[in-house]
Amino acid sequence: MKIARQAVRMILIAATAVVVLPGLLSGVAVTRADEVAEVNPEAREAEAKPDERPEDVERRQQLDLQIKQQAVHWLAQFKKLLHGDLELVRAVCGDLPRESRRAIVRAGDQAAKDASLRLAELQFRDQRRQQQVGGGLQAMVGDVLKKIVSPAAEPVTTPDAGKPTDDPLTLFSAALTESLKEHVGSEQAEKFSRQIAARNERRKAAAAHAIVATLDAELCLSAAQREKIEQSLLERWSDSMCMAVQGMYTNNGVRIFPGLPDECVRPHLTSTQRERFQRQPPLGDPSSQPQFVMQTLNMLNAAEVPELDPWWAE
Amino acid sequence: MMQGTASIKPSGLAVYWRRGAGITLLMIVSLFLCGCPPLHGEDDTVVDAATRQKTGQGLQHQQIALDQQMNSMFFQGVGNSKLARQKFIDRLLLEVSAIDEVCGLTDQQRLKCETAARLDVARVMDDVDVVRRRYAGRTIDLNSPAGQAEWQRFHQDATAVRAKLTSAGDATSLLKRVIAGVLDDTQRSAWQRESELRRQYQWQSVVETGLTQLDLALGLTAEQHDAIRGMLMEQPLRMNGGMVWGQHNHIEPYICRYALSRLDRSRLDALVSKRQRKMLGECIDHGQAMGEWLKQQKLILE
Repeated sequence: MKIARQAVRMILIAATAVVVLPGLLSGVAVTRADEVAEVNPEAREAEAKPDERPEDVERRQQLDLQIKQQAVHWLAQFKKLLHGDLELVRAVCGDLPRESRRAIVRAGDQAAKDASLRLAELQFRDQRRQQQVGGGLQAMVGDVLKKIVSPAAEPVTTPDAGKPTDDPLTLFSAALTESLKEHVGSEQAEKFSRQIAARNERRKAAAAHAIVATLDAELCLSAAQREKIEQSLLERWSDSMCMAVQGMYTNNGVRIFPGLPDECVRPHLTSTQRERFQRQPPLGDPSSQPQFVMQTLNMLNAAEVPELDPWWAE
Repeated sequence: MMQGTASIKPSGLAVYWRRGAGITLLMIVSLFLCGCPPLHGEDDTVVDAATRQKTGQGLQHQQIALDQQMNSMFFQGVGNSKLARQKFIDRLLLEVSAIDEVCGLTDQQRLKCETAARLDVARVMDDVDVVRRRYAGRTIDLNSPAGQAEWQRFHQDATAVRAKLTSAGDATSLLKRVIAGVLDDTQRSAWQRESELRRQYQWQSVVETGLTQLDLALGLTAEQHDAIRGMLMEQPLRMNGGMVWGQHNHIEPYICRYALSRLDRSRLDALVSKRQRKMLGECIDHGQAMGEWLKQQKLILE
């Protein structure tokens, strides 16, 4: 049995290495070149692709359309966020010159559009990659290969310190702050930026708190354990940790928390609790999980997009 | 000569096999080996069933076998009564262990608590079995008004069953009475303090998650946030933690909105601008409208 398992493993390695690696390597190059065009699907459509098969063109155009449609959905949500942020600008900066108001709203509108499209692109990134590496088959086998060759090296979470700056929420806040700096002044922009930073910290703390509350319902933690686990989560925080409580997945009746780092939880548990807290399955690529942003935006689902206060357009 | 060459050089098929087809075949085999059925979240089935019902794909889909539905709706997350029973026993035994950690139980105290926990689960499962027997082996025809009414009743019963299951070990349970009876004064006060801290922690989570929404929708400053948070923390709601965090996802914001609707409106209004007041009003109205549902689902206990 052991020999058979090793044989299967060797077969998988050999097959995927020979057939898939060249595809994966070329996929890396394609992805890098594509990052520039990714922000704008229209640009991608306009690209000349002489070697592209008609069915691939159709698939690509369908995906572009899906992304655009999804971006429209997110735009409505970002508009709500924009109106909230404009209120915050007003609270922080007080009265603003008429021209500055208009310029800030214009920059905010553009930022909302950019961030929506970026989020939609992130959502469909896996499908895009699969198209780029020549289909889902190669991508799937590539994933298998990666897991076989270096299962332990796969990161469960990446702390936010290394987070790419293309996070749609960050993009959005940064654009507004930049506009404030340009049209109102650095001091006001700095004040606004501090409020946004504090809000982000509160959001992160609330998310960590909610994860621990969910763990508590499962493991009956003591107050001291809750404090330690929450602290540990915040120290190693990655937005992808929110995936742990996105759904309710169980294994033989025991709830599992995908992507929750063992080292943040297990050391603080008693032996009885450890029996209930299984080793959690990894998330794969945490950067392709924009759930935290989506969850934040979806929180505003029930609210109508408010009308812009006429003061901004005076 | 030609034949001799042919015997030394591999045939076209052999070359093809060596160069590519073998690998391709191995690929296919490996894909079969890796080709597990696609993973589905628990919600997937529910969504599919709902979509089928909406689109009305054939009469056969309008017939709902309740045995299967009972497993998925009564025992959410575990799918059958055996696992559900074990899950709740394990959960209560964990609670006994937690008491032990905090209070240091004697063997006899521990035994009494564990026995009470098992009896609580047995009692709850007996109650659930009564409902299960009511629907066992039955099929509902959603095309008929009677079937639709029964489907509604079934949903209500499912909600009641889920609440019943999470009530194992609640304030009215045998376990809680035994805990109160067997602990000495020092142990009791230590456990009461621990329980109070848990309630505070849970309420804090509801408030913080709910305020995250208000932060974004209203554009609250840190000062406004803190002031509203203070008001909410002063008036906690009694919740069923097992239902809020064990049976639902992201329900805290709705509980927070309901809690907002119970606060002094004039005090709240004074904290926000005229423009923010409008959006806040919407959130409060929404919370008020959700109140009944939250109570029906036994998420809040009032």
